[in-house]
Amino acid sequence: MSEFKGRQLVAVFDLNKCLECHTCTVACKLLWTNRSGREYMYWNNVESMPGHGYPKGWGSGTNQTADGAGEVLGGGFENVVLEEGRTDGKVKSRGPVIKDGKIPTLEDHYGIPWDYNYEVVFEEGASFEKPGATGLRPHWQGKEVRPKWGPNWEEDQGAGEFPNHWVFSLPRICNHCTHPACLQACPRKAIYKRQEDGVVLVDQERCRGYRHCVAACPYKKVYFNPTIGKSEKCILCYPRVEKGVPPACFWQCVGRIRFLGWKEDKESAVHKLIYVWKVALPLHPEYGTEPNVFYVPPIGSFKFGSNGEVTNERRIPIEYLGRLLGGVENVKRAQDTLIAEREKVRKGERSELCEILIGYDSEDRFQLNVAGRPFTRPEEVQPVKVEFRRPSEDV
Amino acid sequence: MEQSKITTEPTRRTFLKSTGLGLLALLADPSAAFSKIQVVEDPLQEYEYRGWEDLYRKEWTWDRVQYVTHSVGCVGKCSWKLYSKNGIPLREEMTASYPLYAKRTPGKYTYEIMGKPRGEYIRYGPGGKIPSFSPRGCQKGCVYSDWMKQPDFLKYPLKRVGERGERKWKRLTWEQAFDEIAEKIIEIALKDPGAMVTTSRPFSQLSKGGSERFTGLLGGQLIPVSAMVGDAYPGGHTALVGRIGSTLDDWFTADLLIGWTQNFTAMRIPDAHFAHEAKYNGARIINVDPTHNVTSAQAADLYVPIRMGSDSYLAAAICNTIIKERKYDAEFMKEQSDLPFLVRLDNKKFLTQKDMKLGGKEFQYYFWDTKTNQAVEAPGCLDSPGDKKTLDVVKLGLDPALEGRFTVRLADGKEVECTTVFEKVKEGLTKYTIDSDLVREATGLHASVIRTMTDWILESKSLHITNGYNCQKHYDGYQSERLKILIMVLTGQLGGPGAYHQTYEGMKLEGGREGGGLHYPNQPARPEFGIDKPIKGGKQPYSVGLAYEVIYGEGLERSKKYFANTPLREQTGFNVNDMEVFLKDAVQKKYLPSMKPPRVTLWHSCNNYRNKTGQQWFRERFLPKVELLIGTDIRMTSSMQSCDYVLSAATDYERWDIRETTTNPFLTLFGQGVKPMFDRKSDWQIYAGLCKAIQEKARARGIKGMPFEYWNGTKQVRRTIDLHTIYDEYVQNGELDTDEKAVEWHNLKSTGIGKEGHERLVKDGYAKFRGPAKYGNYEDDAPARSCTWQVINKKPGGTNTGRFQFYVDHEYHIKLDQMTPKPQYTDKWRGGPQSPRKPDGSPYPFVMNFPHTKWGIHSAYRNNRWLMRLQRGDVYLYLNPKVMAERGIKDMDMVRVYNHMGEWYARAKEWPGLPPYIVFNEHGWDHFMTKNWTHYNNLNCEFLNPLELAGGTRGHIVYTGNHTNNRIYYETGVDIEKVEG
Repeated sequence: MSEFKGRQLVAVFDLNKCLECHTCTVACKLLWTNRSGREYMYWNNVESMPGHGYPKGWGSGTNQTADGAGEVLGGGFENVVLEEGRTDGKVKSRGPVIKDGKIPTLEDHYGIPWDYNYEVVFEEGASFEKPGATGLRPHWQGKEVRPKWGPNWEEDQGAGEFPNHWVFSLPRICNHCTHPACLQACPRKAIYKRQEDGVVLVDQERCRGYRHCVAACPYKKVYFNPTIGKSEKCILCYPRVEKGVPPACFWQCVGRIRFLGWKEDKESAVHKLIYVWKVALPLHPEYGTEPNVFYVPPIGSFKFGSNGEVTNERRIPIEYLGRLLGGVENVKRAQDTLIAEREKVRKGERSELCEILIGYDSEDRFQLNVAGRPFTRPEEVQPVKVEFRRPSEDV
Repeated sequence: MEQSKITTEPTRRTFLKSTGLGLLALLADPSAAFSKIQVVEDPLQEYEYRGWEDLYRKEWTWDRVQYVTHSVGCVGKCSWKLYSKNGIPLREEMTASYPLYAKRTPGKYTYEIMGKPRGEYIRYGPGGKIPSFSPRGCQKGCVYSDWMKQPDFLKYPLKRVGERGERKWKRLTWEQAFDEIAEKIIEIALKDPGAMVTTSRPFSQLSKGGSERFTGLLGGQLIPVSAMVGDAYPGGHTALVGRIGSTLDDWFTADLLIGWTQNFTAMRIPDAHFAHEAKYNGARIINVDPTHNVTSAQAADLYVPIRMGSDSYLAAAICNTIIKERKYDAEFMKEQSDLPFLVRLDNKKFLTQKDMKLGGKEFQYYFWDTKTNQAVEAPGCLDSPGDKKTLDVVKLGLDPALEGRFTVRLADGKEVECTTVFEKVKEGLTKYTIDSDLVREATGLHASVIRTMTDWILESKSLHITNGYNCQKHYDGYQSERLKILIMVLTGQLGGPGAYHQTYEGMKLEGGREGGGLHYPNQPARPEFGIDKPIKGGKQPYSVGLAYEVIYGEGLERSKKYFANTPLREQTGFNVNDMEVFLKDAVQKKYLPSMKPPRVTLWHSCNNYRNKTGQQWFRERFLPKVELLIGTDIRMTSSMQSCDYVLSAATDYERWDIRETTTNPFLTLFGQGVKPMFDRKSDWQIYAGLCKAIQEKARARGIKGMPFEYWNGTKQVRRTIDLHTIYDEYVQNGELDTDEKAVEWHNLKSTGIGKEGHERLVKDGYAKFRGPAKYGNYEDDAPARSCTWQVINKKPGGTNTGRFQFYVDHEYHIKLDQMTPKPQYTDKWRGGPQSPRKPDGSPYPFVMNFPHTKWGIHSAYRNNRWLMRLQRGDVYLYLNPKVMAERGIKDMDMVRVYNHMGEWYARAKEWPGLPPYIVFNEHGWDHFMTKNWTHYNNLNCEFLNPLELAGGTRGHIVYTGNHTNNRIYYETGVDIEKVEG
């Protein structure tokens, strides 16, 4: 297949700023996936790493646990060779798309979208401290259930032993890859990449629900909607983005960890972070898809020695971060740059890098540049019948 | 996966069906999709068939948008926009238009200490500006529109028709409800005027104001909610009065931010970015916590894994080191603290003007002036004359001595030996050295950890300590907090280049509770925020302490059983019998307000059981004393299940109201996103309706005003209860009869808002405050930092000494030898919380910790399906993996947590970030979610720290809603076992 030649929106997520609050997840959920067969899907999710993640066991080769043991769902490309000396995950050559990736199951890998018997709180019966009393319980298909997995099942768990426990948060959306495995795997050619922004979409009219895309995506960010019999995925909120409004999960990221802009825009924060400062790294570039979400690696706190003394070593193993973000060398350089620039600011000097990562205001993080403005607020482009009225004026 | 397994949410469908409004029209119609036959060449290049893309575009449409915010006990007051269709809230989105307002003007914010210039005190950093507040919100706010549509939300007023708690209900109309409740209230008021108590939780002006106004007009009592839920800061109060909070953009100005008993990354989600971004502004972050929590993992450079409940030892070791190495800021201490003040060695009391002059004043203290070599009256004390209301001692030509012993001749000719508070503080801290066994055993910390922390503190040019609500939920918290404030003063940071944060504080708006307004009728409004003149007369409800619940809930009887086999006195210096003696003494000496029985009890949007220690005991003993239990809430909580009447309040999206706290400088609007659904009313209108029914009945029966008096902790208040005019007073003769009028009335009274601010609020959803706050100004270009009036402007603070105060000479403090900040434990204690023993006298292997959760605001949101799907779906607790292996407990197994007082159940989750001795649970679960309807609060008991009972009639060591017993939770020893289920 050919190379994508269109314009590409790229994102940077600073993992040192992530609050693990899941507001991004809920923002996406209420806008897109709380209905119509999408209930179980998380186009955006946040997972605690190391861990099996969501869906359980995503990845190719090994899963994302500390030791990499256990089931892995697979996907991506074979025989990937990355261009040397680069930090952006550019692929020199790749083999065919891996088609035998596993399709996750609802119960074991995604987790069932359980609900609750809320009405029970009004029902007659004794309250408080009663053996056998049952109340509000998780239900699924009319029966009480004990959930087995979910989109944030391993929250905060990580690895290591107290007080040297280590864990960090990894927010994930569709990577809107430059060379998407899902697109390559679709026999219907129902997945395409928009030339104007690089957003990867599943044509909801053309898709027949074969699910090759689900199997092939190594990040497992395509989902099958059984109600409509088609696959769906993160659309990077294109209805918003094309009007200059940042996607719901970016706009409502309270930790302000998310940056969005054009890959080729040399003035944009994303370009500087990825290509100038080289502190933002792609997630698993060795999968060969050239993902367009980049991560600033976490630094973490100092580790303790066997007697509880503070050491100079950081607690998150660099080997693990290297495994996720394109090699130890790139991660180490990014971390060292971040630490050195922080130290510079500590001494009172200015640092372009630190100021970008602070992202003082919305226009410092979002450079969509539609109609000559870095970004637009949703209410500006989405007029509705009744807006901002006092009760007395609103009859 | 089978196609049939996924269906549309039945509850949502039911909801929509029942309202007769269609949402489904909004959604994509999947049946409209047909397969295409067109040929696609290369989907990486041009793709022709994009007409379908409108499918998702159409899903992004609404018919109404309005500003909203949330209350439910959170302090965030984030502005949101609610998108709705056909009157049904569908989703919300954060407002992100807050201005970037804080930009540095070189030389603007400078200050002096002891007459010497110190440079700038706001550290903007090399970028010269502070990030904006945009966006504000969290995952709870983001899911409110779904939560409020859950079938457990109230739709209409209910009346209990079975026994209390039997959950047999009858639907009432509002007229019936008002009529029946009014009748009962009148009967009880005639029999025992003022026998009413209210707990009121939500922090919005009209909602909380309405419930308090109603209670006040009836002569009722208020439980101070902060103390009730363990959020009060009585220890901190002694040092700097009340609670202080800067706007949290101030975190960004830190070059060292210490989260101490505060998991700020998870617990202050809307503001946590200021902390994380501070790291790029040159700051280091330390997090002190027994668990490796999210803040430790995501934010900290140094994690301090302290043993639970021993923070005072860490703080004492840091203070002691700074003092021993003479690295303290003597000039700052001389000017801004009571550390140079003279204390008599003979009676351990401050040297006062009463000692020095016939008819002298109690709160005029002395320090030793090294220039004239004599004891001189310190300016700026509570009783200092008008021309000496300043802390600028240099201007007065004085130079106080920090150290030494001095002989002073008293008015009666007697000579007494005096020393300074600083000498007493030093003496109390001597044994807490960094490398001592005492500190190591208590805290579990290696000396290098404390050393690093101390060095970083000493290097800091802008030290911020953010001290969470968990601090004083520990017995150790009272002294721990005094010590943390001492660190801030020894380093010359507090209110100057650094700041101390206590999560948040109310802004004290004149139109709100502070000045007499919506909350407290019949009081004059004050000219500006937060001037603490005594309120005269008026019909405000009066605050009664946690002691109220302890006394009417017979809590200490339970505490006696609980600690029966625990050598408590050996370890803390007192046992439960002593607590009881102190409590009785405090009541007898009128250190506490007078109390009347809870014949009428109002639970206003407060899931009361959630916070009670030994709650089943409380229910069994408190409820029989209640003749009428009224609940006002938005959903059927476990507490509402016990009520006699349950009144269906409008949710945050259905009312017009406003919200204030100090976390940010904005007042935010509840803009009635949709009209009230079902048979719901706004809180303001519910209490108006009750008042109206009471007034009409009282008039019909010819009831006249009733004289009423009570002791409020410092004085006897005489007033009347006027049932026959209660509605006229509530709505102020029509001035406040609609929610919209009441909000406007409030805002126009507040100089920080005013007409302009009110208009902006309605237009933008928020308005920025300007002008004076409680301890500092809301500036146009800087964070509002607390304590700057005292430190920068040399205006005396609210303590008796007018300064940061580290000596308390109250009789209780002297009796327990706790005048100065130091760990409150005896030397026999060697670490770990003060937990109970088993009946055979052996210790429990675990201690229970159940702090706030990011997944709820207390019990609110704790059962939302989307948030629960991001957790474990069931009530769960965390255990260390080694403990699980030893006990044969696997992930999601049901675990029974128990001690000799109670039990509760939860599913196990593994957490290597947890030390093995803690059973950890994030709080807020309702009983009805747990096996056998049990609760973790049935395993603990009341624990009264006698220091918090200290009272009097003048000064700051008197009863207030904040300077009173705080509820102490974390002294709970437990064991665990795996069970079926």
